Amino acid sequence: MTDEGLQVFSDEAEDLLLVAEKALLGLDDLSNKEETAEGVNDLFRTFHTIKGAAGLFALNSVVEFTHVVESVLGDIREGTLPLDKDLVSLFLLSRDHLEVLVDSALNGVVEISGAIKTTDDALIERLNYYLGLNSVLDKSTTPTIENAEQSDNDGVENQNWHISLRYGIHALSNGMDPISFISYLNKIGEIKSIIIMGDAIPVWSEFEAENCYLGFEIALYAPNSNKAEIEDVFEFVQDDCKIRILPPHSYIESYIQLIEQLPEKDLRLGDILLACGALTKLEIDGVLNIQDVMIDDVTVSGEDIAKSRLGDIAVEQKVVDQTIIDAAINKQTTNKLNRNNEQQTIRVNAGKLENLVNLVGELVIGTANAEISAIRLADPKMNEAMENLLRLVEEVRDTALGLRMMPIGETFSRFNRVVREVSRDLGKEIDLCITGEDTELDKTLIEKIGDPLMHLVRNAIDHGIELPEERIALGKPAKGVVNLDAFHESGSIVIRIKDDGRGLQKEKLLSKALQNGLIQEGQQLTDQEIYQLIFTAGFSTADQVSNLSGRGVGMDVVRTNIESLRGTIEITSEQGIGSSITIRLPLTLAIIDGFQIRVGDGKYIVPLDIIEECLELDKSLDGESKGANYLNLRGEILPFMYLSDLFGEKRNVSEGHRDDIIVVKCGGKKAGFVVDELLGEHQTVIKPLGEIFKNLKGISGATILGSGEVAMVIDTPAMINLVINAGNDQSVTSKL
Amino acid sequence: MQEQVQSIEETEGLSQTEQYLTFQMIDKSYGLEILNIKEIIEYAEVTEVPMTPDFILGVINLRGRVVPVIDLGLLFAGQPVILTRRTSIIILEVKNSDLQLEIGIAVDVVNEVIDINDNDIEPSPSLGDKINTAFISGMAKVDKEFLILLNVEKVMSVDEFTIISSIQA
Amino acid sequence: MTLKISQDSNVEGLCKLTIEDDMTIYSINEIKSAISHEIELYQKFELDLRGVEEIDTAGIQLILALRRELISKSKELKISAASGVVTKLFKSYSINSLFDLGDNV
Repeated sequence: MTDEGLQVFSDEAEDLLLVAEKALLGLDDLSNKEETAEGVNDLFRTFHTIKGAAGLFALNSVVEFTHVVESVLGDIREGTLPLDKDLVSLFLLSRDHLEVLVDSALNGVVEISGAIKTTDDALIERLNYYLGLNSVLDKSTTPTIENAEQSDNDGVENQNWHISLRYGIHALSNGMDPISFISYLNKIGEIKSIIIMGDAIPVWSEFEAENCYLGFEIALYAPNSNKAEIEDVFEFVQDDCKIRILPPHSYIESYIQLIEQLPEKDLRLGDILLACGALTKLEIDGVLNIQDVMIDDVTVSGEDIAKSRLGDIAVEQKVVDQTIIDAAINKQTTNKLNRNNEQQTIRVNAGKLENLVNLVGELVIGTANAEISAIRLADPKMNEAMENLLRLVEEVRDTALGLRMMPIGETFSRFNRVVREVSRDLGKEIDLCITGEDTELDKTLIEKIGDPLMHLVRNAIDHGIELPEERIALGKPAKGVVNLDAFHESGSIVIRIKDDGRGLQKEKLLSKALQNGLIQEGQQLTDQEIYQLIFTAGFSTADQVSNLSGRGVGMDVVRTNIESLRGTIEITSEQGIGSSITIRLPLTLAIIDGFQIRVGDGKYIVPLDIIEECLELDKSLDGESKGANYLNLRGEILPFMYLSDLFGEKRNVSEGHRDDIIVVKCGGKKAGFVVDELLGEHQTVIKPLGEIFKNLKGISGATILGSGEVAMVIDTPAMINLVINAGNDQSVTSKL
Repeated sequence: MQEQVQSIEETEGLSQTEQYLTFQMIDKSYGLEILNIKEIIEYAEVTEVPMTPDFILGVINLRGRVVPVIDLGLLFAGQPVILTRRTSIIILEVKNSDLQLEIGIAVDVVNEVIDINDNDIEPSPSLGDKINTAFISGMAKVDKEFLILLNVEKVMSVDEFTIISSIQA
Repeated sequence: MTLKISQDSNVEGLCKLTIEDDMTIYSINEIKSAISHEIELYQKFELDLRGVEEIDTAGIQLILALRRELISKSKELKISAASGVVTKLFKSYSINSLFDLGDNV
């Protein structure tokens, strides 16, 4: 059992569990027969694959539990057990439990115990209850060939290794007797069947008795072995023998490939695989059908012979309905298509990816450096080459950055389940409406935003949406709607959670805040400030603590999480109509288009796409507002600040110096930054400033300029807040 | 006798020799285990980071990486490093949980690398003067002179710094 | 290795091949050339492997080759008796059914 193999299993299991969850959540409309059947198939296949994979690593707790789930699903699939809501819930629980089992197995737990064991027993008992309706199934039966379910889809039914050997002509004279390897195979597993392939033996007159013409098709039951172990058996004959090993439950395509590679006639091989139990009749038919499509030169007579022979050998097999065969083939075709899609993605170690992105960052800086030198040289040829290089580097940069970007969809769809469960627990009817799931954001962001989002969604359901009766009385549709939306806006990612529930009740919030001493009597607060109260630690307005409140995360934690990502949260709400929470996250992506400014001796970068305009700070703007932090921008009140004040630099008051002001807008807030000089656009590779600066507000990173100097990158949302807060310093409680 | 007891406590009976880089800061000699030292560079232009406590000098461009530089003089003794031709930046590499961090410390003069036997190290006494003892792992007597040994892990432990910076900010 | 070839006096065209001692890669060429001569002469063959003390895959391959050749010429091959080691190897390769070799050791 190699760690690498286990890692692959762990990744695969995680994916499969996600697929299972998706399939289960898709089973919301059981009256839709077709969809339900498909969902059950998906589920069955998923559990089956997990079982198979776990078997490879001898994760027995996983295998045993999955087997029972699979059995119940098998009954449903065959139509002997009707699927109902209870069963779906039971499967959801089973899925969760399986996740726990996989985790503990991966952590080296051989024998489950304690709470896990209790859950395991309870679930198995419930599952067995369903099995008991149809057949008596021994609880302790571990899967064997005899009771393994039919799987015509993902992997083939066969749970044996299939080993195909073709010995080289000199194997025998070299002293490599096949029998010794076969005996050895019997030590690491059990040879379930072996077929000696003598097809290559020539006619007697040409037969050289010392040469080896033999091949073997072997079915080996070795659930505790991995491929490497089996390959090791043949280590010494590798040069003398062509070895092909297919793991249990291999894809049908693997067998097709095997058949194509082997020297014998395809149709005969079909028989052989069938005879040694590698494939079932159904699978073989599928293979041969696929083969028919692929190979045009199969003669009609050959086919006839093949079919009759297949018939002979398959005497003991059940007569299979043609429609099932067709379905199976269709399934295989679609599965094959799916798999082709899957093959288009590869897993890459995150560290390697990060390294690449970093290197590309270096590359961008390096090229910028070179460009400066090239311009200085003023050599036309050099400049031309440089231009080409710049363009290429830009493309490389965009591609590299794209690698880290992932659509948020997967995170969103996870909430389907939350909504479903929570609404059921609370007796509410809720539709989750997801838009913008294709919006891409950095993988790290996706990972970190999951929990806060989850909490906000729960909250919207718990506190926002009213009970159906209440809604009807209010003239609203009984079913509430929670909207999840994501989109890009001026260099930020915006994620919005909106509900059509009762909205935030300002009076309630205020009285609670008074009670908790968060605000003083008579204090004037804006709506936004009142709403933000819900993010204060220890603040809860729920009159009655529902079972959701015990989940550990409070809204204050949500805010902390978002802020640690340098994001902001905004709430709008209308009583009786609903609330909407908007999370704005900076594109903490490595590279942005920036605008370079100078404040004092320091150079700074402001993300270009949030700059509304740049103006000279005219006396007419500033004139009457001496000391004030607002200026009048074409009739609009604009909070502003001298960045030099904020940064502890001296204001430039020399004669003839004109201050410039850049107007930035972010998250609906506008502010002006007074700077000493505007330096123009600049491709900016954002470098993290390191943990030591993690409490620093207003600066989101640094970048290295073409000259080698370091410039700070301004975290605009935070900076805007600093400016605005500096403006109403005393009027607002700093707690918010 | 006391020395024996101590060596048993500290090294479980085996005395070991470690290499230390010594440097000068405001009339005092310090030592740093070389294990965490990545390189020593000449003091170069440090870009100030606004809105940070004074002991954070700023950041430098170290071959394309942005590395923070702190003033040990300010941090330990409340007196800034005086910039001279001999002022250096010692780049430390610290593992903090999963993160590989680089931090530069500006010091007055870098002296030499010396071997110090564990037996020659005494636990840090309470230094009466202005030195911040939290970051000191011990004192070593070398050539009749006391060397203040800094605990790299602790000195560079990001948590302490962020606490400091949040207090001072 | 000893190979005895005899004609069955009772059955017309039946050749009895009795192989003893070893039937391995070391003797297999010898056996092959000895049998080659007889293949054309008879219609039916009976292998008596009772006295085989050692057999390997080369031996098995020879028997398979012989069987193929005879079948292609519409002739018959039967194994009348086999020693323990022979039966064991036949079983390992699951080809006992090809020759009506029972489980008898």
